[in-house]
Parts: sequence; C-alpha cells; structure tokens
Amino acid sequence: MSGLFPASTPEWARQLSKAVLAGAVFGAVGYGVGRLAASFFPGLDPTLPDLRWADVAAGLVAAVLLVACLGTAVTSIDRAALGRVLKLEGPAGDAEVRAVRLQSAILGLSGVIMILPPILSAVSVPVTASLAGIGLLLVLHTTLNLRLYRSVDELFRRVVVEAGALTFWLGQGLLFLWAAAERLAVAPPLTAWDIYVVLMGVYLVVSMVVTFRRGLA
Amino acid sequence: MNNRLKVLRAERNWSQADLAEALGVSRQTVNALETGRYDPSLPLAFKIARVFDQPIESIFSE
Repeated sequence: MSGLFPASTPEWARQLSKAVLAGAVFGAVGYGVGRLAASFFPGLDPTLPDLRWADVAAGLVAAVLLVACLGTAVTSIDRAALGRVLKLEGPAGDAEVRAVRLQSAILGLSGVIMILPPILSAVSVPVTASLAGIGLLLVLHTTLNLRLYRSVDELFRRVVVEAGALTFWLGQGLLFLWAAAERLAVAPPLTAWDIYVVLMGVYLVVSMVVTFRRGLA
Repeated sequence: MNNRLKVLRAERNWSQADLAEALGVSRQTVNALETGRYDPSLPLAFKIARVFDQPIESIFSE
C-alpha cells in the first residue's frame, strides 16, 4: 500500500488516508450486512422512531471499537507485521501476540457492550434478561481489563492512567458547560445514556491520542 | 528528558529484547524510552542505572 503514496507524503497523511479507505470499505460492508440482517429480522426496524442522537453516536463508537478489534486480531496473525505496528526490532514474540489478542478481545467486547442497550431496547427481549446479559458482559469485560492491566508494565499503565485523567478533565468540563446551560434553561436536559455515550467517545479519542503519543502504536 | 539508552545498548551489542528482559519491561517500553516518548519511573530509572552499571545522571539529562 506504501506504493500508493509519493515518497514525500507525511506519515500522518498516509495513516489518515488508510483510515479513510478502511472506513469506506468497512462502512460499505457494514451497510450490506445491516441490510441483510434487516431482511432476516423484519422486526428490527432500522427506522425506529425513538432512535436518538446518542444511539447513533453509540453505534459510531461501537463501530470504531469493532473495526479496531478486527484490525488488531488480523494484524496479530502476522508476527512480522505486528512487530512493525508495535515498532519493535524484529517480529513480535509470544507475549506481545498474547497481549494484543487480549486487547483485541477487550475492544470487541467494548463495542458489543456499547451497542447492546439501543439494540435490546428495540427488540422484544424482557428487560430483566437484557440487564442481566449486559451485567454479565460488563463483569467479563472488567475481568479481562484487570487481567490485562496486571500483565503489562509501567508504560501501558501510565497510558491507562493518563487517558483516564484526561478524559475526566475534558468530560467534567463539557458536563459542567452543559449543566450550566441546562440550569439557565438554554439547553435541553440530558439522560444518563447521553452522558455515557459522550464520555466513551471522548475516552476513545483521548486513549488513541495518548497511545500514539507514548509510542505504543 | 534525554537519555543515552540507545547508545549504551549499542555499545553492549544488546537487542531491545535483551534490555527489556534485563529490566523486566516490554520491548515497546524500551523503544518508547529510547525515542524519548516516555520517561521512566524512579524505580525503573534506578534499575536501568544498575543494568548499565552507571549513575542515573550519566544516563539521563534534562
């Protein structure tokens, strides 16, 4: 793919082009899968009248997480490619492959958890079963996250802490501005779901920035 | 903060994996340290000094 770009193309432009291209391909595939799923499950109407902006945003965040999951899983098959992505001397070893696959599983699970509430609210599944399912997935997600956190070294932990601190700082600022506007009756009230989706969107962007900045990807 | 990790490692003909193993960190961390993207914690800085048998201030500088 590097042959597509002139030698003078900056690295960020190459990465951005690749991301846009991958987004277009996965978007088209996702649209096709969605249309196919709609024909198999006619009860799942994609033009739900109560679909809110937060549900669409949750879908977008989930899509990014699932694409990242797929990307890391595929990259982990080729040790040489994984070594290049992780900026290692030579191919990735067993420990690196294991860590990346665990991260891939967490990313995928995060995507599924993110999109489940809007989907479950649109299909006729009992609320108790829905909440129990989401709770179980959250426990599994937390367990995997803890396992990963305990298995990595101080650089990865620093990235997690920095991403969390930056997200809190940005999130509380945004929330304060909105809360003040809401209190002054110039902005509509938000739900917990709205706030959660925005928070996760901010966390996704912040964690990517911190990861690149620290040289982990 | 600047450091001489890459030079010291090259002088000893160590790979990133060798140094990572000696320090008990990942190769990614060694790479991040060498490229200046990450400053080590104090315990890791002491460990680096011990591994290279040099004082911390001769490895790291402002």
